[in-house]
Amino acid sequence: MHTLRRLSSSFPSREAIALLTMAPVLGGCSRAPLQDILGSFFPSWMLCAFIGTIAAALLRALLGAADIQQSVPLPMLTYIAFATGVTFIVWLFVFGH
Amino acid sequence: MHALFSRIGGISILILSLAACAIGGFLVLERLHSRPRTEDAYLAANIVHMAPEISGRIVSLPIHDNERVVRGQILFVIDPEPYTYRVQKARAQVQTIQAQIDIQTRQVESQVSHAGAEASSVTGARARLALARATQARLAPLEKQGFVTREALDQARTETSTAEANLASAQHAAQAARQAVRSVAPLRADLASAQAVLREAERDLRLTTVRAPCDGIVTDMTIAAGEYATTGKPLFTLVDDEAWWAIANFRETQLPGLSIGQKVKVFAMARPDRPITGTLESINAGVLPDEGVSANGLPKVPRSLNWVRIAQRFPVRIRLDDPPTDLMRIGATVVVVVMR
Repeated sequence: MHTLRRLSSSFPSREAIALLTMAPVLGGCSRAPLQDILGSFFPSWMLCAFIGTIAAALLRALLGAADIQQSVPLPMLTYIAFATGVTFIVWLFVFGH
Repeated sequence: MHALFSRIGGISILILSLAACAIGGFLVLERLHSRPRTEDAYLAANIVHMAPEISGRIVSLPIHDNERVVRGQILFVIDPEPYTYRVQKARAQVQTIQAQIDIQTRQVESQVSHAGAEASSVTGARARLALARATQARLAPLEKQGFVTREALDQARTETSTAEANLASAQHAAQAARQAVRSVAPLRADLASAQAVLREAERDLRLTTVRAPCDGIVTDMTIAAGEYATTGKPLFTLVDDEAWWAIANFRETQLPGLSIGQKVKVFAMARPDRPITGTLESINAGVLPDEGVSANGLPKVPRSLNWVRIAQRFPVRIRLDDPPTDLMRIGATVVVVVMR
């Protein structure tokens, strides 16, 4: 609970909620190339892309908290490249088989 | 100074992200190429349409829908009564023919003896003819000298003619007796035929009890005991549980990388956390093309043509090495990754 409060104080509340909602989703995941979400099968790369997006949002929040957000050149390209890179890496290590 | 560090940090993040993107993308593509995978796959097994080989009313149906059965287990029993009678009738027919053969054999033996006797009488007739001819030859010179009367010579000639006639008659009688000897061959053929009918009747009787041809699961069963079973008409379906396959549709561009014997990981979506191992068994040789069909004797060529063509997919058969019983269902969704 203490950690949670610290999280919510250090991050914008939107990211904290996203992180918390992600946990149960990830908990139900397997390493299969398809993910079952209430009877619908989604490709696992979608999950990776979701994680990549969350990671990019977290990076932006961290940089914002450290007040160095303005120093990132071409922020759109940086965050998209970061999200894509994380997507690829997660896929390789978790679903790459 | 702080601003400079921040700037360097920001640029590093951009460069690292782009590098991760490029290297990760390359590795992902390489992995997708080296280990082809498809989500367009399902489980499959062979099925047996359980149709009886004989007709009749089902008197016993001890199995139920979705029940697991083992090879040789009784599935249902058709009323054996008419088939029992048929066996008895066929057996009686065989016995009748066997009895006829016995009788016929004795008759033939008798006819053979009779033919032998007739043949012996030919020998007697020939001896009598020789005697008559000798007597006639002896009397002929004596009659010229006047030692015997002409009447005696005439009598000797008559006896010679009579003996010739008797020999011819005996020869004909012997031939007729030989020809009259009957054969048991037709009866033996009848016996073989009757024995075949008996074996067929016994087989039909045996087939009134229908047994499972393989380990399997009963499915699509909506009948009960009392149903009339007709020859060749399926009553229910038996899913052959002895071998399971995953049928995976791979794009034609992926097929060159596939070869028989490759190890495959199969994820059944019912339990994706328990991968099943399999072996690539065979690759399909053809699917019905969208184009190239004929209609009314002419090839049908559609006018529309897509700029972007979608790769054709071909089913690849993957034999599961150790299929978990609880997950095996025909048509179940699976994902297949060829491990090489």
